[in-house]
Amino acid sequence: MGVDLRDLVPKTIIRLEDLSGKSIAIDAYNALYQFLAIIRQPDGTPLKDSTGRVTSHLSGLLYRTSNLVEMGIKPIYVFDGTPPALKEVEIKRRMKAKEEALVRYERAVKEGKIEEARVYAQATSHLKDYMAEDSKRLLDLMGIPWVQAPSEGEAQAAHIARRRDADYCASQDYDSLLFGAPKLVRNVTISGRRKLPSRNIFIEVVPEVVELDAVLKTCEITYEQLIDVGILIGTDFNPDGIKGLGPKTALKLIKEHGNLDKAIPYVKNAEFPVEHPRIREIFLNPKVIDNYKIEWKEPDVEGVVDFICRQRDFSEDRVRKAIEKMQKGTEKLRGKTTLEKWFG
Amino acid sequence: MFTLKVADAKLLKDMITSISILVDEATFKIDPDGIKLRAMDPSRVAMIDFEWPKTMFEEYSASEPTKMCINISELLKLLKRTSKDEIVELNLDEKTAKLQLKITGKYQRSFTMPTLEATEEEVPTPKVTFNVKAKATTQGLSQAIEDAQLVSDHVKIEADPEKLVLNASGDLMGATITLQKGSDTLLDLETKEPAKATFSLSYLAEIIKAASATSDIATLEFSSDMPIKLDFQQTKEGKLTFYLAPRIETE
Repeated sequence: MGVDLRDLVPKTIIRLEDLSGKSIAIDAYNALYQFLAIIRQPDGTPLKDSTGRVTSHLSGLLYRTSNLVEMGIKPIYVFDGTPPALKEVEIKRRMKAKEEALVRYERAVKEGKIEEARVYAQATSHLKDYMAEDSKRLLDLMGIPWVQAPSEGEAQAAHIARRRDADYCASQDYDSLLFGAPKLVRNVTISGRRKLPSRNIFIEVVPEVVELDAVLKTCEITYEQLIDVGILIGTDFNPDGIKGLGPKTALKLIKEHGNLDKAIPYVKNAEFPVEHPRIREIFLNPKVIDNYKIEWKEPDVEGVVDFICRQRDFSEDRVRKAIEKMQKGTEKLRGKTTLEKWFG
Repeated sequence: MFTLKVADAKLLKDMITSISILVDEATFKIDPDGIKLRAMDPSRVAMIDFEWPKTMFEEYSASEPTKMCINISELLKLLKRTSKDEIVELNLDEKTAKLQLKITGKYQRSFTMPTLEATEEEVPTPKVTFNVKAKATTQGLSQAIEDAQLVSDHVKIEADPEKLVLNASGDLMGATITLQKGSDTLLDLETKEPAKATFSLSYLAEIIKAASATSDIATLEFSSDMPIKLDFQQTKEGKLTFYLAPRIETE
């Protein structure tokens, strides 16, 4: 679920257009899960092709990416590899939650409670291997680069941004900051009007930027200390954090004592699934690669149409329009410079 | 403590309008001798460099250097409620971090608005050696830009010792606008070497339109494929300068 830093981080609301000309390393699984959860029929059934294969993720990937490119944004999708062994607890927890949601979903369907069914259906979203494969294939055809991370996608995305091969990292989770992403942008893949779960209320989801330097400055801590604060609150590698200990107390403890090791004697119920230095190590020295290739190419229009219209039953008309939008965006971007180039 | 008073609300409104075309939030640097702003638009294509010495104002006092960050569109909403020749007073209360805006004319009203956290970012000046310097009327420039906008969203500006040529080409249509040196529009032209550069028309149009309200004469400086500097001569003292990054055509 990611570390809950919401209350500690200063953020700037932006418009998606403001990211024009910028490259963004997007946590692919994070985005695909959102598409799978959101792009569903009213009763919660995902989009499917005529053979029953789920296509919600492809729909999200195509239309969202074409929107971004239309605005002159240059996306890079970063896919998760093998999760670190320490993530086991969290993965098991997620699986259990999904199983429970599935039972509830089926019950709601049986009882004809459509609204409820939809909510539970969203929580059952399962990203199967074929979905990731389909997504990569679609990205290739669209000319959008993707990177296969050896382990955590967020860690790899942060690494790419730190090497200045991307201007921003995009994810819903704040973990990117713990992995050292200099600039995190949230709500990139889902911004727009969104329905609140099980209520008939719509809210406007707007993109927001969180800068690591600003976080450290506001909290008056170092990057290493931020990781320790995260571990106290709870990360993917110790999802429960410390019982009864919230973000503000966590920050206070680390500031008071300097680091986690010195703070632990003052923390009640200080228990971790594994020794905390091992969790810290995942953030400080994550498994990442340097030999990735980032290149935006012209989309292969007929290839996209053949794949998702002929083989996955998308409407050809809409798909062609989406690709056309993308091409216009690339055209607009051609030759654009920013003043920063002349700041020397 | 910082306060200022202008006798003509229009002046303040026009200035804030010029700023609003590039930024939503602006951090002003307030010094005992005047107020300054330097900011880039979020996409970092354009920059405004703005200075108002204290002599511009009927009253001005800033006890010590400070920064004030405000939401420009909100401030503009308030200023739009003023009419010409009304007196506007701004008072910054640093304790409550609120800005008070008092408008006195046919009747008196007072608004308060919050100030925001000031940015630390210092925007540098683009390092460019300019080969062309052109002095033109803002009205003439506005017209030329409007002509070009009919056919495209960007324009190539080319200078030789005799003239300035604006070339716009869209998908289907094209336009060539020639401003001859010494004409009613192009008052002066100095060319160290011929230069050409392409710019976004929407930025140029917005900048020139907003700045025309405060200025009749603009000085354009540019070089091939470099940012253009547009300096708008102010009727009173003060400085209103924009920089705009070029589009670089790669074939």
